[in-house]
Amino acid sequence: MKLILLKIKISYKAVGRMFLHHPQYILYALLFAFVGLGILLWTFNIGLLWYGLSEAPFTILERVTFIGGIYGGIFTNFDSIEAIGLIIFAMLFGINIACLVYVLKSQGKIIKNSAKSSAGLLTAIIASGCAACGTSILTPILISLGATSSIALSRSIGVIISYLSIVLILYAVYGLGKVIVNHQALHGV
Amino acid sequence: MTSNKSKPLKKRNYIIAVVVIIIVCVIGTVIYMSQQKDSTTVVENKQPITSTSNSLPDNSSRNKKLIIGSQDIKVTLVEYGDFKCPLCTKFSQSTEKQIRKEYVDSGKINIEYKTLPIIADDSKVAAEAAYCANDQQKFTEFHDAVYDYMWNNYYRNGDYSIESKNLFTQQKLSEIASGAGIDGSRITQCLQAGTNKSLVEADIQSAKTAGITGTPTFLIGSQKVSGSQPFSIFKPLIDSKLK
Repeated sequence: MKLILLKIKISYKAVGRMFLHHPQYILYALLFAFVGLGILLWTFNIGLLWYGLSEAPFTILERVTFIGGIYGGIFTNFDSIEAIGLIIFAMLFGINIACLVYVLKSQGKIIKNSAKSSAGLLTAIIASGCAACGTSILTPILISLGATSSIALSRSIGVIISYLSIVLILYAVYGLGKVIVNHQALHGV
Repeated sequence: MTSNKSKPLKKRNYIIAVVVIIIVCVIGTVIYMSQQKDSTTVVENKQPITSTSNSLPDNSSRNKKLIIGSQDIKVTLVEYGDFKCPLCTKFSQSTEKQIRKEYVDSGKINIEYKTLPIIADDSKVAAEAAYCANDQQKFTEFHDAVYDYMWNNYYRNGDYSIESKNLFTQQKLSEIASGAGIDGSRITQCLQAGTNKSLVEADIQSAKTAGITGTPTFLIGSQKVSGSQPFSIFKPLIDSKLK
């Protein structure tokens, strides 16, 4: 157990060092966090997003305002605990992708960890929305499992999956941290 | 030698399998969403959501609609809602207030509320009571009173346990209605008689036909908006319909 905790500590410290020595990756992380959050928020209105991007009789400014307007959904479409969870996930997602870019640039290793972070994003997408209200990808899954008769169960499953997405993304960052540790050791950082 | 080579190969196969599963899930989700959009469009071709007073068959059916704002307005924002739904409640306290201030109060658009009771059995009783209040020309008062009650007593504090409890009894709905200046005894009588059950069923059927499975869901013209989205999403959509 101690060994595992030590490994985790070393791995996350390496990620921290990476950001300290290469501050441009902080900007990358913020940018990817912003994009990741946008993906999560637009997931349930893909048709509307397409309309806003293509068919809508909007000016360019209106189009940009419309696309960016979805970020206000953090305050209107989630309660405070859900919103905090969503922001934490998006920030971890940003850190994860920034680390991926770093590893790709320095070593060319990407496939394994990109699969992990994709899994994290996918579980976050599944978890977001209101399963009990039917505005979640989880709803058809729960219907097929015959679980929608219980509102409390639907809500609990949604919460568990949202935590799982955070755990997955933390695991992905840990995996990348291990790669970064080796790289830093080799280059004496 | 062979085992050393096969280990990374196994790992690679595992990674490829995970990536393929993720891609299939994402594609499946996109297809599912687009099918929902397609079915909505089909219904809208038969019965335009953005309607004029001329397209309404007669006064009696028009008065049966749950309208917030003036009756005879060209642009209508349709909301499918459940009085027990936390996101519908949140919408009523946030975005809806802005829409009503900027567009409904000035007579530019109206909001047609369609009942989609999906949270619990008593959601249906509340939906029926909404039509009973509408019989007294008091739907807006009822709508605001019920959502305010849910917000102030439960959802503002993050208490979602009420969703699975039988809250909306005839007595409770009558009490909430009375507090908003609606004749509570008439609400009880109306619920006991069950005169508006068919209207609720018609709303549920219209949602099914339109491929709407969750609340709140909105229709502005041919566009469907899912969830309690911010004003910044509704404003350009409404403005484009008003042009």
